[in-house]
Amino acid sequence: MPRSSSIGKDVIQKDGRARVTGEAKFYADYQIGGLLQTRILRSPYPAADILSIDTSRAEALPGVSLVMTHLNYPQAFRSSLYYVGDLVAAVVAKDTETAEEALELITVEYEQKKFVLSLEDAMKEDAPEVFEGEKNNHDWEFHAFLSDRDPETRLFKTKTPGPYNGFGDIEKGFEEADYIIEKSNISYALCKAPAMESRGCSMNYDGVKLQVYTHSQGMHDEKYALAQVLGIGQDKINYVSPYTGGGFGGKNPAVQNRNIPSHYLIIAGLACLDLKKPVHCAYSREEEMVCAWSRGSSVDVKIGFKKDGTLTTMDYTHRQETCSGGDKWPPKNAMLATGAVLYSRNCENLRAKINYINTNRFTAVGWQGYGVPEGHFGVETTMDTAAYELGIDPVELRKKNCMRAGDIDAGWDPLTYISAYISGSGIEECLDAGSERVSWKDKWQHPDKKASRVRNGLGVAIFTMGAGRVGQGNSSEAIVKIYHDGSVALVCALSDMGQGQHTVQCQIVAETLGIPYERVGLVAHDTDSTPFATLAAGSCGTWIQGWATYEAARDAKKQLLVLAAEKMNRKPEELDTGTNGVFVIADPKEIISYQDAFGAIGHYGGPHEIIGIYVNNNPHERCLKDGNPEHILIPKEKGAQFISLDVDTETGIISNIRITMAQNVGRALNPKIVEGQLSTSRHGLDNAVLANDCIVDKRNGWLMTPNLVDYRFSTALECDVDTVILEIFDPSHPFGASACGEGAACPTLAAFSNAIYNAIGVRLLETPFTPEKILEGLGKIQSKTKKK
Amino acid sequence: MKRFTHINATSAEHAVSCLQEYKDSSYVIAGGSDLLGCLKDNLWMQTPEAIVNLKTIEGLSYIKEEGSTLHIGALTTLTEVAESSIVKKLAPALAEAARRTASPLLRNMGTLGGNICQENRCWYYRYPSKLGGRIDCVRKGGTKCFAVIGEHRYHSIFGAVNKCIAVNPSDTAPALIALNATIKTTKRTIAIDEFFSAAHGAGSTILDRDEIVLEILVPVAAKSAVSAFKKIAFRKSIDFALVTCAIALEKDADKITAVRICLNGVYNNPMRSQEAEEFLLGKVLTEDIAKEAGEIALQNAKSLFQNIYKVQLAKTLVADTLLSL
Repeated sequence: MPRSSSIGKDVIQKDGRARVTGEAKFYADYQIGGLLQTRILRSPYPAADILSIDTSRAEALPGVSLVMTHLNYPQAFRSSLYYVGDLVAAVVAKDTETAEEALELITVEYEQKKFVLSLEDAMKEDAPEVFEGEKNNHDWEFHAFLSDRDPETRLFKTKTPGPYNGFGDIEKGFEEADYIIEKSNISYALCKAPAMESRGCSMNYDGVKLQVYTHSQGMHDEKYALAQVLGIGQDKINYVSPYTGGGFGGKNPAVQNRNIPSHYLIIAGLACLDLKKPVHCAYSREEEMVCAWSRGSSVDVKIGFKKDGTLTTMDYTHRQETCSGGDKWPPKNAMLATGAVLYSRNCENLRAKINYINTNRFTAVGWQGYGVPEGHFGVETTMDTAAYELGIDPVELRKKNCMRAGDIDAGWDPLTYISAYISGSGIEECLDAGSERVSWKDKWQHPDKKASRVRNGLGVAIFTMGAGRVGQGNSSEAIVKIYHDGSVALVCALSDMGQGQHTVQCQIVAETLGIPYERVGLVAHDTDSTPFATLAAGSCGTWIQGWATYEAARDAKKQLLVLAAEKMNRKPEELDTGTNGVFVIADPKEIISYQDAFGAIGHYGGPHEIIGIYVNNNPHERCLKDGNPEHILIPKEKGAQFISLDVDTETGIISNIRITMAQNVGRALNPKIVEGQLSTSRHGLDNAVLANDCIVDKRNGWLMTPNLVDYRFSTALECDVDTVILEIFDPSHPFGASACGEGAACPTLAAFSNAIYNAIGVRLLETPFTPEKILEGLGKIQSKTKKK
Repeated sequence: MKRFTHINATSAEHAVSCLQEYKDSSYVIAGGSDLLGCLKDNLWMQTPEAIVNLKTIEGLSYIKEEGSTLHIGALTTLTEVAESSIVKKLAPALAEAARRTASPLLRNMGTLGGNICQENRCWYYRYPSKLGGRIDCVRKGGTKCFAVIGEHRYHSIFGAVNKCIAVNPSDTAPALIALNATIKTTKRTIAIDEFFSAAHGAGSTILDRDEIVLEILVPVAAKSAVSAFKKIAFRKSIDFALVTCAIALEKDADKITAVRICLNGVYNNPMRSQEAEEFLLGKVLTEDIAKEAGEIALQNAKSLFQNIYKVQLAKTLVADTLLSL
């Protein structure tokens, strides 16, 4: 074969060896001479104003370079504090011990204010306001109503602002329904993304540029925001982020938002520029634990069905705790779980309303799933309830109603498009494949038939997650260089934080050029050497960056074929590139090496390198149905998850958890990476079975579990994840792939709750699923209070 | 972490003299898996001036059977205890308790002496100074226990001692109590039933500040004796227990002739269930008898708002442990 192929193969990850052997240099591994250290003084109160602050004794301590407060650095610190652990001051000193000693020399006079620590309390009329003069409970600003549905294309033509997201006639829908199933206050506790590396950065001003060493999920986005906050040009910053020690979406800083925990960047940046000395600022594990909580939602779901189980109407209400400010965007993604996408096949009437609510419980960001798991927890437990009440097999009820390829995505991201076609689904096939793997038909039994002390339960939930957004803001760029020795470099800033995008993008280049994967190198470590790449979020790398990489490789190839054609006396279109050089398609034996295709190089020769380039201002033309710009094909992550578990009815302890994750990935560009991604579905178990929650002392606002002993991340110990990978070609991608990342987090809590119900007949709709709740549900104990 | 003096002790006598020199401002370190966490979080009101390292003392790590007694040096690691064929044979409850403690790495570091002298894991007691300052609870000399009116889902179901409702976190302690062990220190020999003292709150012992555990002695019981240990925790051995139970038992023709039952995670100290023990004497073990013993062991429980479920857990665990023998 003249061409090499690596798509669909388990090639060794580009970053794999370095990560496994410890050779990988994470930001904290960069040794910078004279690096100053920072420690942060944090608020003891959940709500307070700083009346006075005296830093003179700290400043006088030998070894202290700078003491920062809201008085001298209002860009980084505030005089009002919104949670226990909020930033009061920072000390930059010659070492950590000196900085810590100086913190104790700072005297602060606080005025304590009233505070609120739960979603429920924050919504009360007389609740203390987290931000003075602003109600805690916010209506979503971007609710949009869709109308003018084209009977032929089924696309909506009109979008108008409204009191909720949706379409159709909700009242009429329920009037005409034969069955209505309703569940309320389905609560997903706050939880933390399981990244091992805590937030931090080192900065060094080298006389020309501010060199920023840090972890990153999107270097260019971060650089842009940091430059704005520091008041310097983007040309004056080089963002260096060779490796990221886990992100799970939760480490995405938004430097301009004062309520998202990016303060380490601002503090180090300001200190470094003012002192003209290198500065390190990082969070300890405890500090890490008070920033960036996510989930924290309460959902009501009401679904109308026809007699035969056809889902026609859905009413969905979503309340999201956004803590003290933070990230308000996750709830929009919960729409994916509703009749807008997941159940778009038969749903004619949808009302979906979002509110987001501030509390004094730390700060919030989104992470893996970004709002979607919350939606699925609500919808998929209600669907399960419906299956039992309608007497329809839970698998069959979903097969009847789930989205198919070509169904309509009714604008879950209302800012970018009105409605679009779902490019691929395969959920029905995933339900079949997963059922077979877990022997659903043989093993599934109604809970009424189970009587032993330890009872097995089998639950299912389907899911969909975005795999990329459309619109020019969701662009990505790539450069592919071909050198005359036949080696190739992909220049691409897309972050690899363990999810494997560096590897997959190199596979795309290798496949497009027909060369061995090993010959493709990567330039990806800083912003100065790379063009813009999309943030690695929303599981969009394979699609948005994938198109850019593919087209840049094609561009480079086209240029090389022109060079080779001259040398071979052929037309470029007769030629192709492959393992050993450029060859004639009709007669692969007629071949010249890459070196010969370039010819002589240097002062008297031809070009030294070929540069292919592409900017994917998506959607790519191949993502348009029939080339019609109104008919966009948008890919999704999608599939079905099955959970088997045992419940001990005497202790409420759950064991023998096995997750079977069936997902249609379109094409598994790298099956091992796909398996790894699917196995992240175990992270839902943190919140399901390990009793995790954002537990605060109600009188004082202290975080009770600020470490990884008391806040438990789930590991391979908790469960096995069995993967079933389906590959149904997706027309919206050059190699038929869609995405594989955040989807794994979406169905787990619903499937888990459904499995518990199947085991013991107790419907748990509030995470975590503790022994206490299970024993209470079984009537083994009577709690003295309903609330924890 | 704040600065302190680190002293490598050359002998037990040397270690004791260092503790006397630094009086209340010193701590001993063996495996360090507990102490380092306390120091990093700066949770005590006073930072110690000196840390006395016991690992440099020779001859304190051994497991041997002498006469009718099992001798275990205080510096013996939990891994060594868990894997010792002698311990597995003569004191299975202890081997199992050591095996069920923490993770392999921590078992390689942690010592048996250290495991029975651990600080408690109460969230308030352990609150790190980095997040707005430490919490001066009653256990540290403050005036109140914040857990009683706050978060106590993992706390005592048998009431408070000196206002503190934290529980003892040791997994090996209940096994040693069930096995009726003796603790030899630099000053004296202490029966295990006397060793744990809640006088200063949970996770404390009767040891003086200048007293060090040297050896743990476990009597080798009659041939008919059996023992077992069970633990309920979220992540198997990795997590601190919700409840543990250790039971040692002797039978004569199916009838129970001697029994010691100890629960941990339910009270300030590991707690013997003497009423359940008395109930079992002379009985033949059946499922119903085991369940009744569990009920009796918990009949005086005084659970709080958030930890009622622990009563059910403990009852079940007593019965399950009995039935495993």
